[in-house]
Amino acid sequence: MRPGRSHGLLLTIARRVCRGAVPASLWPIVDDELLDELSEREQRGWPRWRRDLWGAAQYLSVAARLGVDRFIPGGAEGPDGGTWAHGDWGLDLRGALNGLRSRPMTTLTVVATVALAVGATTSVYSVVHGVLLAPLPYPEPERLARVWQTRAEWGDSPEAEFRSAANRLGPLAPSYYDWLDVDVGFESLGAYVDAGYVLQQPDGAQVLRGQEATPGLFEALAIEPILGRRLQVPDDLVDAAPVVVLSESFWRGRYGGRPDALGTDLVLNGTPHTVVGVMPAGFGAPTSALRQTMLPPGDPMLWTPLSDEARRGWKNVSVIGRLRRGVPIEVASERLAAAQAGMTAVYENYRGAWAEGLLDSIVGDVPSTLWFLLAAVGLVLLVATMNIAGILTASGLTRRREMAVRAALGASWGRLVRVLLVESAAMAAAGGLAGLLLAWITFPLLLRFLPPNLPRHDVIGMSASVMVFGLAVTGLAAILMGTLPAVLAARADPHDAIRTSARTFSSGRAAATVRAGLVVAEVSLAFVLLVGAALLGNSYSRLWSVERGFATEGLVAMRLEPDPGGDRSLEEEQELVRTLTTRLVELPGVRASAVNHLPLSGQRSATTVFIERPGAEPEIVRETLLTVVLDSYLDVVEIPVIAGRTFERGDAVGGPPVAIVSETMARRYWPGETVLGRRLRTFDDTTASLEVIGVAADVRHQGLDVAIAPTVYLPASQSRREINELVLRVRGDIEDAVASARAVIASSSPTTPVTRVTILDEAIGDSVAVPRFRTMLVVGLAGLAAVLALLGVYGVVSFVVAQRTKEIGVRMALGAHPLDEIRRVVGGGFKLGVAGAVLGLGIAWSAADAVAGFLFEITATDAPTYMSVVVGVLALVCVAAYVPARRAAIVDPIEALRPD
Amino acid sequence: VTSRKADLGELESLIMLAVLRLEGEASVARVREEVAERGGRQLSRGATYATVARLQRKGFLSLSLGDSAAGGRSMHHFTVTKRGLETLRTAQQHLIRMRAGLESILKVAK
Repeated sequence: MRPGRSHGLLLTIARRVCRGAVPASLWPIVDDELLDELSEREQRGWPRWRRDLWGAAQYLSVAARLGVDRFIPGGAEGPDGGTWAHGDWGLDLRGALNGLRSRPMTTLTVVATVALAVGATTSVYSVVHGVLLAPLPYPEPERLARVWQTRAEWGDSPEAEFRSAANRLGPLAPSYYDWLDVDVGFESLGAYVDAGYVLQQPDGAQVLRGQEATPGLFEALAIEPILGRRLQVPDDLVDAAPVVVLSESFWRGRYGGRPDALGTDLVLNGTPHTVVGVMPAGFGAPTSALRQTMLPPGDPMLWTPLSDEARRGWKNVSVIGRLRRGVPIEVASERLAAAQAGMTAVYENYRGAWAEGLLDSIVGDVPSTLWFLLAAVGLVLLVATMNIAGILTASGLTRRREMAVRAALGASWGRLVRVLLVESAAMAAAGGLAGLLLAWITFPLLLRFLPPNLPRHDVIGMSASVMVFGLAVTGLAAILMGTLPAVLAARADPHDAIRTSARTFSSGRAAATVRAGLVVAEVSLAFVLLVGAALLGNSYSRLWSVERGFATEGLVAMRLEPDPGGDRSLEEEQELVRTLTTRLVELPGVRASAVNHLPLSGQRSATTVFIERPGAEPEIVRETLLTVVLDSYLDVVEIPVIAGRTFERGDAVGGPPVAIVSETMARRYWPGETVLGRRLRTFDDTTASLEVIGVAADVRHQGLDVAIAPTVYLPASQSRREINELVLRVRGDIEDAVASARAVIASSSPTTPVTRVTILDEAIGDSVAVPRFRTMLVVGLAGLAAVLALLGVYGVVSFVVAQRTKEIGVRMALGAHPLDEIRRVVGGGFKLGVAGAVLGLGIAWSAADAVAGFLFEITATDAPTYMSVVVGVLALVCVAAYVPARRAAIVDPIEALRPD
Repeated sequence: VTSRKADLGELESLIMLAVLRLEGEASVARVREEVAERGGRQLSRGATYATVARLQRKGFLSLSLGDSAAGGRSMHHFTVTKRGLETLRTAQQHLIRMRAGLESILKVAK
């Protein structure tokens, strides 16, 4: 009996390939025999991977052999293959395949190099395609636009965050309603905000991510519901009955996909909402531009109407519109800006408005990184093809006699070129297919390696267009790598062949020169990539090791929704948080406090501060970071107090109002003065004059790459701000501590959901995920290019040594020292390296702008980086040249001078 | 002039001879063993199949798929067709005629 018919993927693919190649009448025999042998090997105790590998090799070799006979014309009907003189493509291909089989090492090297290069290029392209090129999943997505408001005066702000927000602010809801009344070219215009909904379950409260949306959003996105209806006018009127539209996944999860979900009530935030529709899987407006990280992660699960009460509020919304056919986005954007200018008088803050393509707004600044990476992998592809061209040129030199004989027998130049091109194309095709397979197999790894915050993560895939791109790259590689060597090798002079030995061809010199040129080009491109890798690596390590100001290890933020029903006062909320922290410190190895936003967790609060000066107008400081804390906070987070004291129990309601300022704040606004005892007010409560009682060390709050900003700390009991983030300092296992903390919270206050848990070290890692990805990929690609270029140097020098054995032998016989020979040979390689480095230096220098935008605290023309790459490359080139050079030193003059 | 189609290559001859020797038990694996043992050539699996396929296409070999024998192995074997036998016979006769008089050089019996 044949046990286990289950095969690994590789074996399954190989079997299928074989089945396609083998004539139908033979297939059962081939298959039977191989399956028999496989099961025999299983009984002999071969492990599964070994059987699979062996079996795949057998199937593929049978397929290759029979496929040639079956699909390539010419010779199949002859006895044991045809003769060469006939002159059709089929014969060329057979000849090529036979030729390649007779040079297995060259063939394997070339195929493997093509496979690596095509595989890497295809993988990177799959990301580019998924994120940037694949259309959005809406009908006519190119007509979708996102509308922004602007605040021009922020463009000059010293804070980078403001500068970048100056042009992309979520519009105010009232502006959105104004735009509905003017015609700027939108067929429909919708507004939405991300929202969390509390669903009370028997086992505690759960927060669902959803969106409050106007009916216009559904019209703009133009996706039909799979059940019931979308949100529509007048669902959004203030006094309309509350309704909800569900996502497909939520509907399946909670209602088991039953149609009778329609009409039932879902109690959200304590209010019953009638279910009116279900949207298909994948539907959902892109998560709004405003960062709403207090919501649980994932796709929106439900939609409720954004009440037109928002007309009168100061709510920020996201706005998406569908352009009328034929209206270019630039025109709509201009008209919108003009209309907004007319309305500006009404609002004091928001001045401009404009529209950009929805896809552009989603991918943000990611395209620059992705195009950069595609360019980098393109360089590697170029280095690989030049490397192969070098190998093939060398192989062409050693095959001159063969070429010359063919030419002597009457083969024309064109025909010789054709034969050689068919050979290189066959290798490129094999390599390309292997590369595509490689990209396909390693795709799950690639996905894991991608930064988690990359937009459109879910669209990336090995789609048909990615495969077509891979094939096109393969074709390009075939042309780049094959043409030059074929043309060179085919210039055979029949006289040469018959007259002299391979190593003394006069025309071989042209080929050698070409090969040296290729190596110089390879070294220069590898140099460019290495410079990029060195700059990015340097920048990343600076970013990562930036002073944070506090120990992040073991810090966890648990965000609470202390008031899901909206019926607690701020004092009650704060009291609840205070109670929870006192319970949490009872857990072993846990210290706990609470804050409004933990540094480096991706969120911040800011306010305007008025610094009081005796006998003068107060100095106004906008956008000062505001950190509202329980008194234990600075202790738990381990932020040192460098002057004065920390908060105490006495700093409570009714006590004298106090504040602690950060070191930067103290230095900037009271330079050289005593800070303790100074007074300030905040915009939150301008009536209270706060006394500065302490100075805390600086912490980096807004991101590793964002400058330290002035910060004011206030005790929670004296502030009007919520402190919904429990801060845990955990010694020991973080997951365990979080689980215990959840249990404590659920038992102390069952109606209080934990909406998000942030392990700070992970959050910091995620915040630099894009630079890390960029750096790792470029470092890897640069390494690959460097190895290829060094192999090129090695190959050229080896060839020179082989060619000059006789010359070297003569010199040695005349008493030359072996070290001199080594020096001479290495010197030749070194010259190639210098030429490549100089060329690379020029390219890197002039292309420095491409990388400048990705660098942190280092310039794109950083001289020490360039110098170290120059030194490194030249050293490696010398090593690559030294290995073959040693062979020159041990040349035996007698051997070398012996005639062929 | 004999048509190219009727020519027999060396490999083809070896395989047909092996099939004849095996008398109805000529599976691909046995053929390979036979050629290796007597013909002194290690044929790759691919080359064997390719040649068998070619001989089939020329109508020199035919394939019978037998019933499953005990143990579940399905049985298949090749036989040399009448046309195949004729071609082989002609080829061998040519060979023998070409050989005539060279026996001492080739060190074969007359």
